Amino acid sequence: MFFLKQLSHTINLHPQYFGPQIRAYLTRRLYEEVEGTCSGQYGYIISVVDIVEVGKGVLQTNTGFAQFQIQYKAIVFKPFRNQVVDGIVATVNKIGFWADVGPLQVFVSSHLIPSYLKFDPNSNPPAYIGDGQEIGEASVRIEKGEKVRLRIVGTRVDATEIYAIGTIKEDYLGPAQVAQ
Amino acid sequence: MSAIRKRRQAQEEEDANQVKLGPDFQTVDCLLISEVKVLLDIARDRKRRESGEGSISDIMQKTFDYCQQSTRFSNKQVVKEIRALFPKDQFHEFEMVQLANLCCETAEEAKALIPR
Repeated sequence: MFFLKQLSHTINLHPQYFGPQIRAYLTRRLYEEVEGTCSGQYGYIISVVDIVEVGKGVLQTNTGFAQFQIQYKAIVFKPFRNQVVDGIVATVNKIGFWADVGPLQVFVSSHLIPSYLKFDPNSNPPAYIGDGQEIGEASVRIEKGEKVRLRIVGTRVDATEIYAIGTIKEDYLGPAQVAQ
Repeated sequence: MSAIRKRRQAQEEEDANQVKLGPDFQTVDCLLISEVKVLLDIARDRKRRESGEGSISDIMQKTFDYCQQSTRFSNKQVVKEIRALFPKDQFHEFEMVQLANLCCETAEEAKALIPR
């Protein structure tokens, strides 16, 4: 789920950058340091939207650097347990498949895939194929690039990574049924 | 040690079925996938203007591609009107955004996917 969250970041600035362009330099440094990172507490920080406030720089007496506390608003992505999301299949394997939900990879184990979908190792690309299910001409398949609706069953957070597992063994979940 | 235990407890409380998002996110604005796409468009243009050849990070590119494929409303005007459609008192913002993101066809589907 995407959120617009206000966060705070500390930047230590070397005196060589004290000058008329200091504000521009600080914003550039903020973008570089924060965009594209992931924290366990706030999720993936996708993009900085707005800078709310650049505090007054405090000079550190021992190093000479100036420390700035920057308040900014950013788009963050954090997955929650039991949340239903649409994902795009990235990898298919005998033990399950991985789907990309934004920046996050969700793993769906074969135990949490309904029994009408069976792994076919001979097909190219490897896929889970539904037997007895016909929609139009092609049967239901889970293969790389397909859209799939899944429910996140659990998440695990490290300091800088989020891992998630999901299921499609419920009503209304699984490969996208109707072309949007 | 107690900090780790507190963090683990906070994580176990998080449950999208009951809209328990933990202390950090319970009151934060949620964004529709289409809104995220619009915002990322603007960010990419700004980046291209400022740094010329600069490329955006992997995560941003991945998210942008995902939003492009999963967005349901391509018209900017429509995206702005969506929030006005939902009455404020009945739904938590999280549920409203989930409804718009998943676009369920029937009421049963919506109830099954977004319990509260």
